[in-house]
Amino acid sequence: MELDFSGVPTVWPALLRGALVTLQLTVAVLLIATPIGCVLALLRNARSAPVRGILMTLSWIFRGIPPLLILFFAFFALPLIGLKLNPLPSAIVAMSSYMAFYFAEAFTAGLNSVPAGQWQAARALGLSPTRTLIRVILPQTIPAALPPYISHATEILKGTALAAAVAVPELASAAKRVFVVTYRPLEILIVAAAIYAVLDAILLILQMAGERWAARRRRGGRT
Amino acid sequence: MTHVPHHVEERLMVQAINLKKTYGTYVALEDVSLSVRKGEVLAIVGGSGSGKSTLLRCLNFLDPPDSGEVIVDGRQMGAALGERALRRRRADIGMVFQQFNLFPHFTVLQNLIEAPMAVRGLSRKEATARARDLLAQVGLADKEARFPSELSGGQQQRVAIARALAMEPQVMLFDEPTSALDPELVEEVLNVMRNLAAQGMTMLVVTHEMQFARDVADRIVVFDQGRIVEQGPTAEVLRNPQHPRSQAFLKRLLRTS
Repeated sequence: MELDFSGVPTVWPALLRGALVTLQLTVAVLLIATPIGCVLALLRNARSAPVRGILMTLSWIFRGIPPLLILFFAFFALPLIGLKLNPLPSAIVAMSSYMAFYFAEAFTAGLNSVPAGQWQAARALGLSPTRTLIRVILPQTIPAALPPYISHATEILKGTALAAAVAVPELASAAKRVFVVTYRPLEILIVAAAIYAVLDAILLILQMAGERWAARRRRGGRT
Repeated sequence: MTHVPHHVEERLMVQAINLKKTYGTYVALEDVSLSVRKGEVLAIVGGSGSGKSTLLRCLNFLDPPDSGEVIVDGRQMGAALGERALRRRRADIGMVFQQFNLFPHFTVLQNLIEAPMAVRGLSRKEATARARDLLAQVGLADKEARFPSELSGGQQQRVAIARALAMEPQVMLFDEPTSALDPELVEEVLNVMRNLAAQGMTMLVVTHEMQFARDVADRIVVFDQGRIVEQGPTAEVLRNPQHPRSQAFLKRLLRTS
């Protein structure tokens, strides 16, 4: 068979709308899961054993069951307890909930990389715990936390295609809707893949820049 | 090196009364009492795990003692003060660590101005001026824009001393300040400490440097298994230690130094 991309311009707007939803979903999950992951990582170092136990169990559940199942829960099961969400918000809630635990892993690794002496020095100087965290500890977690954080973050983009299963009109499902009408699955899927590749390339460039920056920080040189 | 003259006042600067500290079943401090007068330099010696470092950390409540009292400059330290007041009191007690513990993502200058601005409420300008004075005092005036990783161990420890001094503490605690240093870098740090003693700073120094103790310390306290087994004027304790543990310990130290 021959490739024929002549029909692409007509379906381009539909694919682009799908790409836009994919981007929205990716950015929303990043913005929600990052601070939650940060708080989860801090709570993990909490003194209370029950808190740590609950967190470990939740982390095990959310990272252990298939993401698709979590998406189904958010869309089909949450309405049963009175929380009815539209497809896009439900996908954002579902993906943020498990990504937060992946991010928490990355941030925990970062926190553990800071020597205890840093806390002691800050306390001995009379700095408050909050100030110590913000000014002294968190900046030092970045070199160890950033690489795993970014690699999880790039997974979000690919993961958004799962949201098709709960009727989110993201790029993969947009492609499918288009090719079942045009009977040109090969061309449409190639174009969709190319759009994913471009979005991923942007994330990859950010990742490389981030890792270079982190490596420089690790050496403790000028930033 | 000869004796470093300094003035010791009658007034008590630090009092530890019946301090006790356990970690699980391990007894780190067992009924430890001592007092240090204003301007006095106290050398604290003893084997590893004998409780010397724990004592310092109990004095500024980095590690609160299980029981006993700490009184600094006539005022009681303790959790009863409340977290805020305790932090302010803690800031009056400078501490220098074996591993320096400088903030690696800050420049030397930032290391020195962070706490004075955050805790003492100094403006950036005031804090910077004070920091530059102190850096000149420890011989590092040209290093303010450097990062700790760009400095030698001896320079880092001098920065750490300056960082503690930037809070204008009433007393300085030194926890084996030269133990992590290459031998050729030890002297530059000890010299800074000698100057500090000569200026009348009250100092509690956990150290294995017997020459330094002999030159600077007014009194020596010997720790063994969480207890003070001997204390007295430096010359006396060094010349004629009474307790068998301190005899053995000092003999070993004097042979190696």
